[in-house]
Amino acid sequence: MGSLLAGIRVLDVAGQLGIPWLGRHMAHHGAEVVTVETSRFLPKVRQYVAPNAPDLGVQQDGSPSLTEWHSGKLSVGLDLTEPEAQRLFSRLVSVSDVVISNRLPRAAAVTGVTYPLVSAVNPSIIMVHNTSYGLEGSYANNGAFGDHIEAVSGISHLLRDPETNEPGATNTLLVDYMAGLHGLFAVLEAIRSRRETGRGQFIDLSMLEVAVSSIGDVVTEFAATGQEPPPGNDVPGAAPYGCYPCDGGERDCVISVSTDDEWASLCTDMGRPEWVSDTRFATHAARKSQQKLLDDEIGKWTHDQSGYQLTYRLQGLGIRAGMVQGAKELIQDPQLQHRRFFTTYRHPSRGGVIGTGLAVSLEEPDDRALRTGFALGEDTGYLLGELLGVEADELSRLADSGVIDLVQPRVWPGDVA
Amino acid sequence: MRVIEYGGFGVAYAGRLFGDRGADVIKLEHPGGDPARKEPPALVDAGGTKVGSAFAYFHVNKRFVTLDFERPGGEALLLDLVRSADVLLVEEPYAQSIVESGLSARLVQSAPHLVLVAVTSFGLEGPYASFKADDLVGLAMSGLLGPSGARSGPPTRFPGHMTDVILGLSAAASASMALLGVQSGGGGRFIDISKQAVLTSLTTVSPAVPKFLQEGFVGRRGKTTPAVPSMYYPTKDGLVRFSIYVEWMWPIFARWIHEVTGDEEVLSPKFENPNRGPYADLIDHWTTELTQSYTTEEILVEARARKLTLAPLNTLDGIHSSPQLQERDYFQHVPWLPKDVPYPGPAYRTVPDTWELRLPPGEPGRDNTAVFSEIAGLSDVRVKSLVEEGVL
Repeated sequence: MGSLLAGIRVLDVAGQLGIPWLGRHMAHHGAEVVTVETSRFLPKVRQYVAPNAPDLGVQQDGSPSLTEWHSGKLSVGLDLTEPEAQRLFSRLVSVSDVVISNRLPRAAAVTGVTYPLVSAVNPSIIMVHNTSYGLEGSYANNGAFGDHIEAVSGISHLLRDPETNEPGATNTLLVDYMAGLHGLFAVLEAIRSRRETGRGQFIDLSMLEVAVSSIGDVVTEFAATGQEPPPGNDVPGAAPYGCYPCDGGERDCVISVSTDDEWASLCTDMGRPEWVSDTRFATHAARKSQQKLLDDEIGKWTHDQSGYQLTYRLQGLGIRAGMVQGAKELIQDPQLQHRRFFTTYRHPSRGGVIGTGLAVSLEEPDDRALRTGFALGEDTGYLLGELLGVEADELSRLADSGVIDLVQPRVWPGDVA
Repeated sequence: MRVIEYGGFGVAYAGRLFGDRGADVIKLEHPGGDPARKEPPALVDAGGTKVGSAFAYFHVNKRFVTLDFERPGGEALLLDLVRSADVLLVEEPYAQSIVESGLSARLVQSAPHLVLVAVTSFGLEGPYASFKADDLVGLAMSGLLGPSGARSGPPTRFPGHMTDVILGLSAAASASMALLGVQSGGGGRFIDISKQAVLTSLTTVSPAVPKFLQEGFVGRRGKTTPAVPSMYYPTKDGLVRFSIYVEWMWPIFARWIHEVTGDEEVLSPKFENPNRGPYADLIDHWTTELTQSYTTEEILVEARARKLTLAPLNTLDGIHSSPQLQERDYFQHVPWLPKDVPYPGPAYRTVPDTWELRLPPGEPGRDNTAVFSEIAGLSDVRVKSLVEEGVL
């Protein structure tokens, strides 16, 4: 059961991507994580229209992104552009431990979710403020997602196609998630430090700086020597090394050879034992210089083989090999299944939905952390009423005026009535 | 707070994260030195020996000790070292060998408070436990390689050592999470980290698996999200990345296209829906018409005025001259590199500031005397004789 973060309350004003994912990690380990949102400016994760069922219209609790990034959390409906809501938010801050945000400085100022304001209310608060380019500087108020940051930071340039020079992308908004992990590490370290010193901490998390530091070795090498690594699948320590067609060209597999022993095993398996002593390929340096020829030969050899059978056979020989897997293969991957990587979460209108495993997972999540797809504002009554002691008629007045969203909590499948 | 690391760049990055924030991080190497030191190109002079730029980047703010714990007396010194530590980070292939030899059990018994993090390709148990994965195989088997790269090219590995950075982040945050348990009076913990699982956790972006199960959506390179537009588009003098992930941007963007191209159809309500996928080619065409009307500098100004997310494509030159990074004083100067070589700053900043570059990369065993005198009371002479015996 999640216990490592028991007793920690987190206010999540982030909405989407890496920072709410950080919050999900905390909920998984027992923290009470509260998403702060409002129906007046419906968050992107709630504007979901299923591409395969547009007739159902907007499904506020149905988006896979909501169920992925916000599972295990509570929802309080507060329109933070309203002074009354800001006062209630301040009261929540005074009984919370962590605030996580990814709003641009101009939006943060409008909603009052800035470190100077929250630390004035609660000096021991720990706050992560994630922005695209950092809180100061001429780009401070420029929005960007991970793919834009990949372009600015040089990652897209490094991912270019060696043949056409077309820039690439990870296409997984990777930087958002690296930022989420840096933020998670920083928060956990800050909690540990606070237990000893009583002091809070502010964490200024710029996606651009996360991106550049993730290729810091390449950036330093370029500054010192003017050289950059070759594009594509080309690393100094391995040849052959790359992506090859398999299953009649329907799929791709990868093979990576870094030692003479591995090379000899591969030659034997390919039925080309003479290549072990062939001067064109006998040493790593020789293989590196013949990479193109090797890629062509290996590609012809792999083309009509079953990729999985090839992977298992080569791995059995001690050669690094694998399949280029996608969603369909991942869900059936026996190793991920063995680790119980995908988890079924309880969802009020769907019954169960599959959730992707986390990057940090030390405990089995408890029942609350296994709930997902909460309605906007369904914990407003608990948080503002029970926790802060706001009277019921005051809550009704605030709800009528649209300052708060007050929704009756629903019953989750499997909940004891 | 003491962290010991033994292995490759994954645990090295985790160690660096702790070291940058003030922890005493000790890199343990076999007396021959970590083979990763030789990864080209040689860049940094670490106490008389040139080491590769990657090794140098991943190994600052650390002390360096050597130890062969299979030699007589070696394991006793390892136990002394581990008893003095809070965290031990071990990476493949050492992670498997210390488990299989029973050494990890002896370490945990000797230091019940220890957080032991074992980082391997697929995890220590399960059908793929004996399989090996470098970054290429790890990315392929986790669903991250397929979408990565240019549309015209093959699935492409992440540049530099980004895969190790991600692995290191997971290892460090996992250790930090476990330390909270120790701090609360609980015992240590053994954490089995799988490269495949950590990398697969990042497919949550699309999110690939739930989206596939719910919608049948399968991403492809250059188009893994249904966002339209989302691509590189040409300007008069370069390329820009432009994506619309937030729906309020579409009407603003459509009006901009209309202003520049005079096209009326773009204002049609049929495009006012996040699912513009069926019109992707048409919208990419309009977007290209728009971006080609400006230089990169001009379009950045125009996009910023409209609060749209558009970014230039930089080469590595562009990073060093980035006005934003300069205004934020991101790059540092470090004594172990020539003065004109800017050095990347922290991935995140804190108030109060906890980040400091204290210790340069060093040769294997640089800190043997200091560390072993501190944790095992060994004299200078004894350390020297152990070095001669090949134990240190």
